[in-house]
Amino acid sequence: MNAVVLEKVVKRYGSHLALNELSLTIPKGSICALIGPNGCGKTTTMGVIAGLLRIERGSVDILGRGPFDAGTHAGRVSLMPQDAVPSTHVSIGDSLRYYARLQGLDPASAKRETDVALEKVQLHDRSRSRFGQLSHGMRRRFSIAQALLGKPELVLLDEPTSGLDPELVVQIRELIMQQRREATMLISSHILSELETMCDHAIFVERGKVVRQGSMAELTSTNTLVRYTLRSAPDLGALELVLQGCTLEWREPTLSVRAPQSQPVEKTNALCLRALLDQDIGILEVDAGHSLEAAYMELKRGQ
Amino acid sequence: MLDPKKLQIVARFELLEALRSRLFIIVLSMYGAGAAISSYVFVRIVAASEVMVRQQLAAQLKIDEALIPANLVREKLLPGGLSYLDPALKEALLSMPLLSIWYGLVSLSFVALLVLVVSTGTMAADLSTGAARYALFRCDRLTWALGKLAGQELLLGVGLLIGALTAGLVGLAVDDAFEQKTWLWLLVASGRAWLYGSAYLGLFCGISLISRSPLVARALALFAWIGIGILHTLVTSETVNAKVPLKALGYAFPAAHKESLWSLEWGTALPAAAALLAFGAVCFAAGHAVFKRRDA
Repeated sequence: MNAVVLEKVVKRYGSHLALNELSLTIPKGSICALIGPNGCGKTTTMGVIAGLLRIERGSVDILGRGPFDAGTHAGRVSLMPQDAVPSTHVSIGDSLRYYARLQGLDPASAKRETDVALEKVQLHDRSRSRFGQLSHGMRRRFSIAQALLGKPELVLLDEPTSGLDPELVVQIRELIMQQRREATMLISSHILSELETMCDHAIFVERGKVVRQGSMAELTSTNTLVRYTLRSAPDLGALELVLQGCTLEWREPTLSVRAPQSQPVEKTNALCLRALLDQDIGILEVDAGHSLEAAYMELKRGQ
Repeated sequence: MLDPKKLQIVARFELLEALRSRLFIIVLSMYGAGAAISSYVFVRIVAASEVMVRQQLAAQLKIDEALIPANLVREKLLPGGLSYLDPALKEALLSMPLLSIWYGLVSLSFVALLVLVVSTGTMAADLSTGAARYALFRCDRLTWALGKLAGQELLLGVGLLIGALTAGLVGLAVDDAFEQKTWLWLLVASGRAWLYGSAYLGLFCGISLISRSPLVARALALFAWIGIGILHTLVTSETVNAKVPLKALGYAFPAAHKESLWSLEWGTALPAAAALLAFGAVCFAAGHAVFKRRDA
């Protein structure tokens, strides 16, 4: 069962083709990453799913009930828009209660859900503040809170952690992981390592088209990326001899080693570390296992 | 599909939001102050003029000032004795307290401007800032748009009632001849202005729905307001002498029904009220027809 099915969706902004026969499926219950460069159509895809944007051609099916229709999907689908500003005249608590009521909750449930959502994003002490009085990070958290109101079956999060400090990123990531059992999620972000830890599915979008999609296991089965931050440049020739089948790239101060999936990351790491120590190179940091990033870069290279 | 319950939720939030906005507070204060000052000046002028007219009539008729009927004094006081008006309408006006006529004239003259400044930008602002996006995946577009319109209708009512209250309080404080029935007539005057303002509210909110910024919405609304004013004058003017079908078009415009609103006969006032509401509804529906096909 799929939560979202888009088939050959075409969306234009004037003469600009934003979605070019885009087709994708998001399995029900999955946390799916939507990956691609700026302007590739990620936000447009979310807008189409949430019924905010009108399409030119193609078919959309949300939760097995056809294209988005407020009568059918209100309360079941929620969206965290990227740069939307809610009412600036009322408190964020009032705004959340209003959204909860619009989702069909009665006044008591709306109040309770508002308190829960504010608690989840640690804004409960700011419920009387207006949106304009919040910092950038708090605004993102408010936006996440409104998306988590009630019990949505499909949550669309457009760059949920952009502009947040590292501690908050971790908190938001944990919050998303907690929702795993409750809703299908579609998350767009540029931080691939973050998506890799949170998501079990991924969709790569390029110029308004899906270029690859599947489970995280499938997508990351071809490559593993290990990064080493070094004090000085290594002898790449000597390393290539040791790390056969791997692709090496040196961009001071980072050495990137992309290894085939057939070779366990531990083995790649052990071989590379030994070779680097033999060359007497100072190793400042090892960052292993960026398979999604490797898969994405591989895809970019192939285009 | 229209959801009346959600419409009511949107309308209530719209009213709450508008009542807390700086723009509404500033405009309302200006409108209230305008109503108060003009009412004060009016009451003072009327009182002075009444004494003068009474003295003149007493001299003309060679009777005691106290014996001159109030209606006669009022008839002389009103511009041109209202001889240019329909006799029934003239009768109706003479039965109303002067302060309520004055507030009725002021509110009818300024209500379109009030709507233009306060309400025109609201939907366009929500669409340009993205606030609408938080609501439009929770309720359908028609419910949202009508809810916003209903909220603005309520807001207009609040504004006009506050204006009427201010005018009434001024009358009560400075007019020795202030009658309690004036309150009722001030309420009627507010209702009259609300109906007239609703026609413009429908037009301006329809424009707001298809505009991408509040500034553009206000500019377009201003052009539309001036445009329909000119058009109405042209098709109804005796000098232009427009053909009959074109003259009939004049009845579609709000200004054509302004005078009928004053009538105390249902047969005259109700069609005028219906025509004004229909004008607003048609304009709003046209705006929504465009909006529902567009991106939010």
